[in-house]
Amino acid sequence: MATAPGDGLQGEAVLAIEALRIHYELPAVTVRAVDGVDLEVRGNEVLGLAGESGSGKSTLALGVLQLLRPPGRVVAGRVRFGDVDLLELEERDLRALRWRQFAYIPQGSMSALNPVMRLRSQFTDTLAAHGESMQPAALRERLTEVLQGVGLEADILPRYPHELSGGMRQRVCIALALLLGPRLIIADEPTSALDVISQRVVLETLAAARQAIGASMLLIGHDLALLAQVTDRLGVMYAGRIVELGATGELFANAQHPYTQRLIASIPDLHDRRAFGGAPPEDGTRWLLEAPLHEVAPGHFVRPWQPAGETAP
Amino acid sequence: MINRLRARLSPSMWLGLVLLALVLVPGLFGQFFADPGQLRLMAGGISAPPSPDHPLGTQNEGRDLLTYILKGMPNTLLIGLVGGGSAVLLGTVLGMLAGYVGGPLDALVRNTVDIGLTIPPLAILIMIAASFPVVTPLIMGLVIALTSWMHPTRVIRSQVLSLREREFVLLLRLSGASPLHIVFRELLPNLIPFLAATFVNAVATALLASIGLEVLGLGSFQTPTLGNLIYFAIIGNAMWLGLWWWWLPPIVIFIVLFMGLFFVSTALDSLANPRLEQG
Amino acid sequence: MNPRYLGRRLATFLLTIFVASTLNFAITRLTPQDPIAALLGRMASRGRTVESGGEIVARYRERLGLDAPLAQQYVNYLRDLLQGDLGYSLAFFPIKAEAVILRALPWTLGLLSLATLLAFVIGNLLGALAVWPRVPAGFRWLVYLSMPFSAIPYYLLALILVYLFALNWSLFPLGGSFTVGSDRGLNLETLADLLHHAALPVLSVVLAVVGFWALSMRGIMATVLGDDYLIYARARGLRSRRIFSHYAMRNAMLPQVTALAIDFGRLISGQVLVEIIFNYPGVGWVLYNALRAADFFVIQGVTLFMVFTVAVATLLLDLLYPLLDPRIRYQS
Repeated sequence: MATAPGDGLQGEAVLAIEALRIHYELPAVTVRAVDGVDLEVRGNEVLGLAGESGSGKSTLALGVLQLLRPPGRVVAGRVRFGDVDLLELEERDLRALRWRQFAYIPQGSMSALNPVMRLRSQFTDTLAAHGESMQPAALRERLTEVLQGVGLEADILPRYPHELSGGMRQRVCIALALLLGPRLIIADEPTSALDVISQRVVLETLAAARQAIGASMLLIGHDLALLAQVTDRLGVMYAGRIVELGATGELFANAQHPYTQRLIASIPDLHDRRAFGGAPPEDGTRWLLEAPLHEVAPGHFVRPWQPAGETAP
Repeated sequence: MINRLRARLSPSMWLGLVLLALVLVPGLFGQFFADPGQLRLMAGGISAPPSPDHPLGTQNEGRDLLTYILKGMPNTLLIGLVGGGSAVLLGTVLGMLAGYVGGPLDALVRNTVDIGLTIPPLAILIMIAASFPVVTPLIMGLVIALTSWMHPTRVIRSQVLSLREREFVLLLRLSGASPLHIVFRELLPNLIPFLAATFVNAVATALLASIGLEVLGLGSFQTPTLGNLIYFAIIGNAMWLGLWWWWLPPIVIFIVLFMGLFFVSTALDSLANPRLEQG
Repeated sequence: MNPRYLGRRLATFLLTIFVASTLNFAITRLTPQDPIAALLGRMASRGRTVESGGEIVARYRERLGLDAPLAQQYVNYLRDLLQGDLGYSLAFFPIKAEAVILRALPWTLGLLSLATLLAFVIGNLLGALAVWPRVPAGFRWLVYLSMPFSAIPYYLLALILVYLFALNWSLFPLGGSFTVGSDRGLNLETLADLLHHAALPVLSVVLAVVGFWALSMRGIMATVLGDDYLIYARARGLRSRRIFSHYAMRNAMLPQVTALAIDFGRLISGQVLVEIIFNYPGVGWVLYNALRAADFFVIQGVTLFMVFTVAVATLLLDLLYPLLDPRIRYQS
């Protein structure tokens, strides 16, 4: 559960995303996947980011990590990590920061792990890339420890990814993320490929392991109920923008934006994903996505909207 | 469809078409300007280098080489077109039926293709050409098709397999359209760019096989072809004797022809499979 | 290894050999006339003088058992084949056809494996680098230039290479596999001499085949580049070189190994023709001479050898494949 009050008063920002815009420049159209996002992840905090698929949350994660694939491109903004802007870094300097400073837990652990490489090599590759080649005994001790931290035994190391269950593979990805003790973990729907029960268990493992090393985490997901369990603060994303942001408890108790309210209301159904479509309601409400966020309570920000019947200011 | 085609006439397509035209125009029409008398024994001097009378010189029996090439090109092109065309025709019918109907028919076709692909066509062609006395260009093309339909069958089958899962096919099936109608009236048009690429590749394969046979001396020597010309040049020691006008022109024509086919097929491939273009 | 996988591959291997041998038999018997007479007729029509034609025909007829019923001929043919008995070479009587082919075999296999391996390695590297990020553009153009070569038949390329490098510039020998009269001990000089003779034949195959591999590798790599495990490897801060070799190439090679098995027939056919151009004393050269001399059993033997070699290569690659792709080992 939450480790610090989400009142916006604690901790320096570990990661500060400023006015980030990411576009997919296709031959005929430009898709604005991330359309001006400001977000901070603070020390030892878990920040949740909720939204449906297509809201731009995964693109945001890949943009921050500098792993966007063409035609995706960061067109504006800054991503401050400590005292550097990740967007300005040379590939070489970026590589040194990766994993040691910020790790990533991908969505599909099946396709993320190299299918033709034993798990041990995927661990030792990661260590070697950061100058940590070690003696067999020490290596074994290190890997056993990090695997046990996520509820796995060292006997999976000689296996190939396809020999593990989905839940075990996801734990392997969590173990990999913890391997170098990063300051920040960015997890993109780390449990979406699992069944409902495993989702909960794996997420709890992730939260506990994160707390053990004192890292901050940006946790992306579409399941508000699941996110509520482990986050300190929660942001809601729609069409490439944050529409509401606040401490998790406050947001649930006092949701302002109609979109947030509908996300919360649809929680019981959310496990079958067709339950909810993100378009503005038919009654004529307009969501003013261009307007700035305003603070409705300390640390609780909402994007304005225009109820049905009213005219634009 | 036409608009899409026009929009996609890529540089590769233009280059390919220009190269093909360089071979096809003289190849198809040059024969009408050739004088058969020039093919007679001693129509010119023996192994004479190019001159105004004999623009490409003569070979070791004094026959005019330009005339031979102009007479031979239509035959070579015929072998390629008949061979490639029949292979693709056979492959399309078998591939579409196997892919769409599935079941035992598909299993039979798939296994036959798997085994057929492991047997080198040249090995079979050598036996056929060595055992049968008369080989006209038409027969050679058909025989080559018999040994090269497996590859088109395989690629067309896999295309049909992926197409049949698409929504519009399902809707057609539900609306009671017959399998034959679906395969040949609805699926086939979707495969046209793909079939065109397969055809171009099959023509190249057929030409390759026919040149191989002819260079081995298994062509029909009554009919002039470019492959036979190369064989005669090798037999006549044209290279060691420095008679470059004898062996070089057919090779240059083949290179231009194969390059043209290559560029056209590459362009058609990216038309049928746009994903590669970004690569 | 999965026994069912193994069983299927072995069955396909045996079936291929059986089908090809049967085809080979059927073709010779389908001709409207006696296969030997047909062959001799063809050779005579080319102006080959076939010495003692009558005697040859008689010997062939006896060997083929042409007067026995067709089924009996077929059984005899398969039985001889199983015993590795391909019949007598008429040109080198009383040497057997299989001996003529075996003598030429090392040259063909050496040339073939050297050329295939070189082309496969270079082509796949070129193709992969052609789409790898941050590879110099000049290098990328080199790759594009190599691709059209794949469209040109090897043996035509070979003729031009002979003309330029051997005849005009005398950089390489005109043909053969070693310098006649040189002492062929086990030393570096011999090796250098062999390589000097093999260089042009190998080069003509490599030049042509590199583009083929590069082209298909480029397509596979373009797909692999977008795969999740590549993104994830980059996220972990792995060095680009490591990602290229152990993540991208390692996975992209899998379909290429399958393609190598499929393409082997084309490779060996090209090899046969290249040997003719270079007077290289391999199986292709044997075939060429056999065709000119109407040496029926040697012709038949060489075509069976081509089938057999391709089938063996396919089987070996199929057996190797599960070692490269662990997923195959556990599937039924």
